[in-house]
Amino acid sequence: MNTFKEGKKTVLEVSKRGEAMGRCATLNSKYLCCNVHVLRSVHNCPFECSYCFLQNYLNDGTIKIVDDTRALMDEVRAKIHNEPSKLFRIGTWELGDSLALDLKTGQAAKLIMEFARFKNAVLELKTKSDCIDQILDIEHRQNTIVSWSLNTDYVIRSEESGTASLDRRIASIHKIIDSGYLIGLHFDPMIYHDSWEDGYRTLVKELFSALPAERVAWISIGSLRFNPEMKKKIENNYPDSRLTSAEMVLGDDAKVRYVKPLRVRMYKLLNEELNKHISQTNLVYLCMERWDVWEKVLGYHPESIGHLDYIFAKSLYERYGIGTEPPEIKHYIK
Amino acid sequence: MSIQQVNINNILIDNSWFSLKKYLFESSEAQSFLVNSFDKSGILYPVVLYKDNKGLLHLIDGRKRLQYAQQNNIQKINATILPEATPIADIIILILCNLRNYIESSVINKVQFICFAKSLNIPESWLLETLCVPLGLKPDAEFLSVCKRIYNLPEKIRIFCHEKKYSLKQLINLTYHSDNLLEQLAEWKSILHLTASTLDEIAVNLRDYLKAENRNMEDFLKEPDLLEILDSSLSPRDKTDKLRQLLYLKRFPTLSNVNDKICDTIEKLNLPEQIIIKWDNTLENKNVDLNIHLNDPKKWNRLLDTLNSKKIKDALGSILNEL
Repeated sequence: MNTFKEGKKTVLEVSKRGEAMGRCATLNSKYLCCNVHVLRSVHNCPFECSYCFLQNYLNDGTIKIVDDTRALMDEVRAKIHNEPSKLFRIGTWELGDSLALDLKTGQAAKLIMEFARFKNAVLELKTKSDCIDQILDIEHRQNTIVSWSLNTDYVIRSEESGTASLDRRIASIHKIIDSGYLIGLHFDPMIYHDSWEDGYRTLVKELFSALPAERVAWISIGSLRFNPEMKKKIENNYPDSRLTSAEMVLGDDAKVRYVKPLRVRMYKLLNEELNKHISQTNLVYLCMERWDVWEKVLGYHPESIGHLDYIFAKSLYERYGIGTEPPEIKHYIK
Repeated sequence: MSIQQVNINNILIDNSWFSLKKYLFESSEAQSFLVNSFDKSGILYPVVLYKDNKGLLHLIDGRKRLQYAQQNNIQKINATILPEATPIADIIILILCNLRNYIESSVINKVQFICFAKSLNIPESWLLETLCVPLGLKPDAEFLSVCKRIYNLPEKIRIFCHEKKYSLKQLINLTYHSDNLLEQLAEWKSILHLTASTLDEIAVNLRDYLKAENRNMEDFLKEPDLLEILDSSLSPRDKTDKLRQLLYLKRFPTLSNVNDKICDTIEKLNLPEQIIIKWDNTLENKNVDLNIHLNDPKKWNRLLDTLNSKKIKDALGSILNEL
């Protein structure tokens, strides 16, 4: 563990090696994925979330930032040009926080400017930080969605060490909206804890107290999940955490998650709270969930991963005019 | 190196630098076998000693011979004395060669032998390369700290691991539990029927339950449903089964509750034994399997009628609703 924690203190700038753009690594036929693409421009994270899969995933504890933006963008350009009729959502958050170190690296601003030129791709920067001042004045043309991973005040304090407090995240969200960006909200991972109902109710209420729902491009809901071998890692690295003692089962995707009745209860509560503030046009989706859970929580389920990808493109086109033409489902379902 | 007669009172036995008393578990059979041999033939071989820079004599090999000598009022014993300049690593290899059978009789003995060698300030690289590999262990950089964690397990649990021939992975798993919990399990050893896997299951479920409910062991030990099991006249095997069920129920209340409801629904159907309803007990898959065992074609229509009844359809609908 010390190696893992110590490594986080070192930030290295590295050149791009191999393919940097790929599919989100959690694809599985039994659990619907939103088909987001990932650009691996950041490896590791300065924060210490007790549930983070990186503690069991990265061999090298150091933080690495790919400094060769041109090479990254050449790869993105080539891939999105192969399918010009499809809208790509591309996030830089798979292996780290998109913005936590951006004051030092300046990487986000370069990516935002590059993505502003694209007609069939949007960039998603996802963070638990409040490091946004450096991107407020960048020309983004709404092609970058700045997203926050959000949780209850209790979870942030007990499980997300080093991250911005909820108040600071909310303040940053307002600043970003004022700069004309669209935002994304990720209530993922929802974590079962004492008084979780009150915690998530308060979270939604505080978040939406002055938030224009029409600027929210998408909202995801998901719950804690991890590979079985992570259990011991978490217990070893964070002995005071009660995360792993919840009632969990092994799913078909070889990940441990809360038992389904509990997940459904948590998602329903959050969705009901969200519905007090958002409109029918807001896109709410479940991250890595089964079709029957979609049905129970949201009342419908996408037919496939491609169908969900299309729902995103349609929503972004109809609400914000993102994409060159109305998306056609045939480009998303193969 | 000549053999000398040494007064046994001048030999450090338990306080010897090379005493393995704290580090190796051995079988009682070997002990009685040796005593019989001494009675019959006397002490045939000299003990091996190491003379330190203060002239103190540390026993390396021959603890049982010395014990026999003490018990039989033998004052002097033949000894080979290794000089102060003898490399400690060489002595460790000598001990390994002499006691290989004991050391290799269980993984915990191997691990404890490595801890013994480490206590003699041997360089870690030597331990990893020269000692671990011949013992069949594949060490990585953290292996020695893993060994230390295992060695720090409560002694009663380590003895259990020796008796049950725990694998390295099983030993490592035990190190994730608190001493408090492990000591309680060791306490229960006499009234339960514990195997390596049942002990692990009980430990994991108990630990997670206590953590989830923010309770401690003292609270748990006062719980009436536990006391009922422990104080019952059931056999150790039945007590163990009851305890496992109790902990599963406490650890997985939602799963237990929903699965019980489904079982009740199926039981009320009074299905013929040829029809079996199966579902995913983890509740993840919204899916019910209906199995029909047919050994007599004349029963086919009757089974179909049963399957086609409203009662069955309603029950299946209710089960799928739970999933």
